[in-house]
Amino acid sequence: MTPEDTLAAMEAVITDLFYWVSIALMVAIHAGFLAYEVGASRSKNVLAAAMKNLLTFAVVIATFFFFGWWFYYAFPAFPFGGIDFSGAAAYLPWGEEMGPRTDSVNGIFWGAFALFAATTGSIMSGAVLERIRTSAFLVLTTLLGSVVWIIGAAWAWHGNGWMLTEWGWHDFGAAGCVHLIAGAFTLGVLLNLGPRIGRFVDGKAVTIPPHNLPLTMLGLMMIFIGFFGFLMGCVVYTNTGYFSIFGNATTLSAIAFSTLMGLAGGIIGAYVSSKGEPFWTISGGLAGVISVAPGMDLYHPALAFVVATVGGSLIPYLGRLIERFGIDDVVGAVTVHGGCAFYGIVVSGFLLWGYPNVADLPGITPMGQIGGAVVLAVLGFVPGYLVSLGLKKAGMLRIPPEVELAGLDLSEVPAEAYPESIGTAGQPAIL
Amino acid sequence: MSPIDSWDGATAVFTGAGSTALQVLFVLIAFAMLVGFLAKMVLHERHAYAQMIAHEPVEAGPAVEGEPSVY
Repeated sequence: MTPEDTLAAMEAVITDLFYWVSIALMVAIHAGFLAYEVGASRSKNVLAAAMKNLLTFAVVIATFFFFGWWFYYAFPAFPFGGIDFSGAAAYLPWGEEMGPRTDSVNGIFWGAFALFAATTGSIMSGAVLERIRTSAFLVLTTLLGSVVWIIGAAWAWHGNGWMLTEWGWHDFGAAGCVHLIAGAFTLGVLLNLGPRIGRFVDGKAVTIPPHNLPLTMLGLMMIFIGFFGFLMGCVVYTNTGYFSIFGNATTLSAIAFSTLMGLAGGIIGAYVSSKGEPFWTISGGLAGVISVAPGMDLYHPALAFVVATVGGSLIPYLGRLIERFGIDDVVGAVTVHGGCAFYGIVVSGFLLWGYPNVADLPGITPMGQIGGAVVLAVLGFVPGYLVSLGLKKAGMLRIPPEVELAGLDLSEVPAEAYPESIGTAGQPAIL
Repeated sequence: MSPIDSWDGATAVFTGAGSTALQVLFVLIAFAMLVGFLAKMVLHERHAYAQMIAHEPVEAGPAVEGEPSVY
């Protein structure tokens, strides 16, 4: 074996290992979403909420293999250029790259993107709690996780994506293609799904408290852990150093500064603006990281803190604004993911104005960032609204009102969450 | 189903490598199983909701351990 062969083999081994760790850490996001949503549900719906999360993970990963990964290679230039059928053929589920090989690490990149896909699909999950049919949700999460977001990623998170090559787009941490698309898609679904029974009385919002807020908070802490895997997967590792997906040099050190300062700023901002309300305060951590995500490879840590603090402080207001329209977003997904991603991208356009992109690509501008944010919001909202409208017309979107009042665990899930306390039918399950 | 006779110089080592027809067959079977799961879930939901509204057990026979009581 020549020294060059040895170096190439070592690069493949370290690349495999790097993204393997990223994938493992991202699984913590799903454990976190599960705990978060179980806690946010009423006790009559906890197991149905958990099952929905578990099945999202399974269905999105499977469908991302069947067709999701292909979109990433086929759509970067579309609609300015054609769909790249020949270049993407190797990534069809029967393509030459889609199985164990001794000379390719495609599987580990597929794995990392499959976890991004499952994360995107799960963002919608908490918003629609306690009244959506699980089957309808799985159809919608497949559309979001294995089609819509990955087309957005081909446009806005790819070295040849048209938003980079035409508009100089920059979004290191996938605020646009993951969080904004998921938030906009969710908003479209919520408009058709409607609020939970009792959430609005005579046009006034009525709080339906979560049955276990500490579990919700623990779930968000697990999502914070998973974020380190998510952001690790946003870095392109090579044997000559790290790069962002847009080709500029960066390091994990840069991302450590912005991630931690973003978490800190978001929590503090949300604490102040919500007057110490626990749900919004801990959601502020998420809001902070999402707010700084577009420029987290470039922001000074103190500037990241400022951007995140403002982002965290916005979410209680955005949440109340959405509520005024009669929209029941149980976990604030539209607010935290959609709202803070839009805010973060717009702000990045001004703060990163003048930064060059690599080679002859256009530099970062406010118009490029704002235009890109609008495109991704529309890309998320339209399919979410239209497909959920179709499911609603077919009577397949929402559970019957009797089931909603009695609780999903009583009918759909053959098990009791808390058999030694009050049963799902209202009487002690075990005497 | 092995696509190789020797590990010397082997690259694509997965079952069906080199045979598009075989790989398409694997995918079609796997995809059909996923669609079948979704169809089964829709049927389960419809049955479970109807039984609950009728105050009947979702599954026939005595309740298994941990199963909720009839509404």
